Amino acid sequence: MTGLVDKVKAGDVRSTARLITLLEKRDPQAIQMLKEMYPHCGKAHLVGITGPPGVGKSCLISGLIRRFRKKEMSVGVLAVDPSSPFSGGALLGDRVRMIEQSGDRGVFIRSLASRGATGGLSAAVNDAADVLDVAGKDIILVETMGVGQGEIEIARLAHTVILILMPGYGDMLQAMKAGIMEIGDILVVNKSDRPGADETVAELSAIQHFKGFQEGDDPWTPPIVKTSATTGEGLDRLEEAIAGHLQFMKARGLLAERSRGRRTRQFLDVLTQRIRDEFMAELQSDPAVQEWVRRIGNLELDPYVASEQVIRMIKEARERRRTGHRLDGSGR
Amino acid sequence: MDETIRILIAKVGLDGHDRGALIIAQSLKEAGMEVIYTGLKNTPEVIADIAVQEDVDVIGVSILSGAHLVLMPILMDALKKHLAGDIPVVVGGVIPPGDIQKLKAMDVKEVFPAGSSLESVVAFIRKIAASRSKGTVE
Repeated sequence: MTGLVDKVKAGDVRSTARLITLLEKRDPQAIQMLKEMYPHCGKAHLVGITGPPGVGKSCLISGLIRRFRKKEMSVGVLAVDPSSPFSGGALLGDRVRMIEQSGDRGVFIRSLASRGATGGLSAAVNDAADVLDVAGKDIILVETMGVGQGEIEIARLAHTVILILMPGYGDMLQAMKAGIMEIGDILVVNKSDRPGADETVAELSAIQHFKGFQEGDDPWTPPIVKTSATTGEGLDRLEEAIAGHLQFMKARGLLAERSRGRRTRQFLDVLTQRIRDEFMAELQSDPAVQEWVRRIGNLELDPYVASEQVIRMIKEARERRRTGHRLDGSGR
Repeated sequence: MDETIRILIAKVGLDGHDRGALIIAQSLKEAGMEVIYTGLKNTPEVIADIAVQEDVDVIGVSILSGAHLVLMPILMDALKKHLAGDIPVVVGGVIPPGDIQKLKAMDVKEVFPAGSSLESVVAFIRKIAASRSKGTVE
């Protein structure tokens, strides 16, 4: 496995694909390679693309790739689809809409399944984005389904987030409630060849005005772009908006800030997951905890008091270890 | 370590029917695998390219057009050209009994003609993916 990162840097497709697989599996040797990778990261523009199912995210990505390729930019795509919570399996079909780009050496498309935990997912996507960054991709598009908090979290790893909606997707109030309006740096109304597109644009800009009253001066007002992925209409304006947002972020030094935020969030996600994995198995086999589980089941104990007791138990164990070290003088 | 099986389900050549491929894809998903589907009418080159980028453990090709003896050698060559000749390939679809051995002689690992049970497909793919992941630790 030695030299894998060098092969990725040299643009070897098989090695790039393999490194993503190994990181997704949390292979210990591959994790060792992240340190080697980081100095070569940070060159790619990470663009998150999210929106409800069926609004045309994959088609729009296909259209964008075509435009980026005309400018001879190399493109990476990470298409995330949900895993079944029952079987753990997943049907990853986003490539069907991007088939035109398969076979182009300047484009690397990878489908990723969410594999359960949200923390785990964003970690896998973060690592895969780093691999494509090391492989020298100029722009990396991360496609997620924006229906739950987890997917919104993924879109946040990006420098630029595009929220895609379409006409007639129901009351715009729904979008406000779900909070998805806040995450878009660019708002797209796709399928604009269908009736109702102008009304949707009007509603979106009305929500923006309302937000403006609430929050005062926002340095960046998300542009609202009407597109039709099938006719290609509006894609030039979308491409301009993406470049415009990158320029804006660079000029204000916000790019580095977002990247730092992304790393912090990734660390916290991984840590939370690890703490869970590490302690849950141990706690569940603890006889005292098993007794509490039994009593909770019989409604003799409530989950809040029991949780507090577990936390106290962990804190006491830490305290004992610390004072123990001090007493016998064997502390580091 | 996570050992989720990743499999590519591909339709090759001028073949417009994917009900069978989609049913297989659904069954494999329900068996806990991650299934990447290519859509209809792909060239062997494109399939090889996708298999490499997705780093799949197995490739399943669905052919109902009768062109399997023409298309499969091209696909197997394309995989070798992409240095992906080590990925096991299985074929399903409308395959006359007399052609099964011919496909296996091209290094197709197994053939599932119409009427094969979903259980037998799932079991074989599990087996072949397991033997591969043990055999090729880089």
